[in-house]
Amino acid sequence: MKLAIRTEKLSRRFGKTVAVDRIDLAVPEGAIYALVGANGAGKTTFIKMLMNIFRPSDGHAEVLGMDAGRVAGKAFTRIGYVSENQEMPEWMTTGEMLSYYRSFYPQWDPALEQQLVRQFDLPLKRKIKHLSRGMRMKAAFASSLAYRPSLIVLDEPFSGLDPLVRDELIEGLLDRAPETTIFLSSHDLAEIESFSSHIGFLQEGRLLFSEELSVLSERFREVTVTLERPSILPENCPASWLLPEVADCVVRFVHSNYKQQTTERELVEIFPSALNFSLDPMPLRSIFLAIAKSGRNHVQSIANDAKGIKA
Amino acid sequence: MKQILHIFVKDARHQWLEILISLAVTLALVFACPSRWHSGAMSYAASGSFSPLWLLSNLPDFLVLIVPLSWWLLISPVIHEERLVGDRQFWITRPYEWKKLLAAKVLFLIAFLYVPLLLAQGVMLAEAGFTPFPSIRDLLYDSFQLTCMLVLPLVALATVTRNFARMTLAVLGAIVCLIASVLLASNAPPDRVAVSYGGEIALYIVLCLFLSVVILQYARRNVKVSWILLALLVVVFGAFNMGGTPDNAQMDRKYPPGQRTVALAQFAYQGKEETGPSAFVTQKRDRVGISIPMLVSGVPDGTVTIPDFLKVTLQAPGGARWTSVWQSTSMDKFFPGERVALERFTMPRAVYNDFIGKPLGVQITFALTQAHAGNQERLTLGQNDFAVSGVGICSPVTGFADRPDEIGLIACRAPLRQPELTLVNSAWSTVSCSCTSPSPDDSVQTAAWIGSLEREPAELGIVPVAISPVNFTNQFVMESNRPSKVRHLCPGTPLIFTRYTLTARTQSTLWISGFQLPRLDAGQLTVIDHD
Repeated sequence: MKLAIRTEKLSRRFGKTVAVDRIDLAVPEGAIYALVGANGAGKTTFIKMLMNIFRPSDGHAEVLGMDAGRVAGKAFTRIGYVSENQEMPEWMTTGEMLSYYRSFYPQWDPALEQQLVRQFDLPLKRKIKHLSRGMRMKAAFASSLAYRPSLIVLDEPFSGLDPLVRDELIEGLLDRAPETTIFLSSHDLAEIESFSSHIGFLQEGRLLFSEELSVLSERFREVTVTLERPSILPENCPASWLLPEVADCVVRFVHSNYKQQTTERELVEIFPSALNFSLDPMPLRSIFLAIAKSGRNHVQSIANDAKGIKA
Repeated sequence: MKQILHIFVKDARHQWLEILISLAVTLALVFACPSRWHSGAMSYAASGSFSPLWLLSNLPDFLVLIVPLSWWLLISPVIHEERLVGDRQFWITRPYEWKKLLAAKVLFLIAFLYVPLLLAQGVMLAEAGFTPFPSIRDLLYDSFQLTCMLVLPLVALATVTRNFARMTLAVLGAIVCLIASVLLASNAPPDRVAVSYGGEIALYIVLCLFLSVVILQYARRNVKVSWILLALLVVVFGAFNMGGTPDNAQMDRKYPPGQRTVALAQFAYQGKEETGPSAFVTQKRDRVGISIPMLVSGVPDGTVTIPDFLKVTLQAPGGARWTSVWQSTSMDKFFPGERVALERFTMPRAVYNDFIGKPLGVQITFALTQAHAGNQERLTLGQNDFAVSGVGICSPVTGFADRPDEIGLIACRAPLRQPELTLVNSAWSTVSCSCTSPSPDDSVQTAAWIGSLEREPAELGIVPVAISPVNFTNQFVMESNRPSKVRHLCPGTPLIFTRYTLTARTQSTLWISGFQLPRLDAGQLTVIDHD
């Protein structure tokens, strides 16, 4: 499997603050990878290291097979980068900006540019500084998609946009998906759940897990165990059980390492007198809430689970 | 090349107003400067009180200040267009190649700063009466100096700042550092020679450091390291300004001791004369000035000997010893024949207190330059400009207060640098030039030095014409209880221009035994300006 992005122990410190802490990440070519995490989790710092805007304090990163430290100049003819707070040549009109960028990219596709202009309904004669936030993002998208980059990196691209603009951008992005790898960061799960193929969760600079979305959804189950009589939690609760709680005869928890063949057997062994087991798939939002609420103690075990290491 | 031109065109489109302002200021300078070069226009009538005429006559001076400001207005936006500080700029994630980006900025400066400047300088040279083409190499050297001292520092400061406001603060900070450095230097012990001695080295160090900052910023955008380099630059500048004292090795290289069997001049102590040595207080309370009269002789015919620096060693009987560093001298040039000259130096007051009253051995070493009288040109002063070979074009200056139509001064102009060292001899008229039958008693001989032996390709400046006023001696007649009289040069007065060329530099030493430091007269204050 060819990788579009690969990092090894990638770290970045700002003084004593560790913004990104030893991240190992692999993004296969053709994936739509969503890096999620709360504000301040280290997503932007991570992306800026991939784009060679920040230099890592430690570790190594490769982007499209090249050292991230060499991502500059011509390398950006294969990479499209859009960030929510990226500056733009404000004094230019949208048309002038597209025209200006055009000559930097040998593979710029004027037909695709026209298509994107129409699709995003871009006002070509309006100056960038006079565009609304949504229009600015559309212009940024158009200028980063028109040369058919091999990798599109988006840092919080949909942040603060109204749903209509968001959908338009996602649609434009997905049109390019078959021919590119998309790596985006977001703190809003709902906006990426519908189209991401892979997902990574960053918390306080550490990558809790990174895997295919389907595998993740398969791995997490909301477990409800109905017992004969009121009970307490067993002492030998596995570390993969998140947020365990007992209410009378019902035990509830989130299983973070569900496997169809083994989990039910494991539950029977732990709750031999259970009347009923319910193992429900979880939406992405619930999975992340569970992980976030489960706190620091579970961080390592979840990370290990994701890598298949027994806690 | 395509990318370079693409960025260049974009910058030119966006910065059209700044370009226009810069060109307009340069053009204004081209129009304003010639007005003060020609004899008809050279007048002192407008000097003095503030008036439109005064403003007009001083316009070139203002414009010379405004031109660099217009460059500042040009450099800041063009560098900040793709600014190098920050992590959100659009261009850092686009296929910009730093070398091409830097080349585009250099091309912009060449097109809108250097080419207009060179053209303007060419026109100004032509207006001043000189052919510009032979001076192209010197004009390029002038541009190089302007780059080192002005353009490159502005570019470097632009590369480490986010915007014009931040750059303005940085420039103001640099100016404060500069002023502080100069102030500190002025408070430093005066027993040092001019900083210009290390000027060339300083120029190259400044060039290297500023270039490093610019290249580092474009290649790596490492703001922290760039600021450290700029701080280092301030330290280097301060060190050159504060400690511009050349060591003995430097002086020995420039003034090789004992190279000539015949001394350039002979010095003899004149301690027994009425005007013996004297001590005086200086502006600096911790230093004492000593003045020693000397008989100077032995200057070969056809030459002049210039005492540039001196160094003094005092040796007390008990073995105590004090040696000054090289100090610049205030003595005049020595001509053939005998004359008494006062040699002055300063020493720390503590050393003076230790040594006073003791018989001292004194060793005074002079760093001397010998110049040989070469071509001589005799001319007759007229009302109009006249050319003097090796000097340039000279203009009589009229408009002095009491006799506005008479010539009170001659000003010579030369392309890009001071002329060669030249002695100008003439005669003042003590009566009005309109007097029909002046007698020989009505004239007073006078002389003046202009130019320099140092021949740099070009002096640093925006205006490529160096003006050398011929400051003749004896112009003012002081009489007690009367206003001073001013003498004038009359048309028809002969002018003799004698050019001098450098022939030798060496050191010469005078020994004095049994010397007693003179008592300090506390009421006497003499100010010595060593620079």
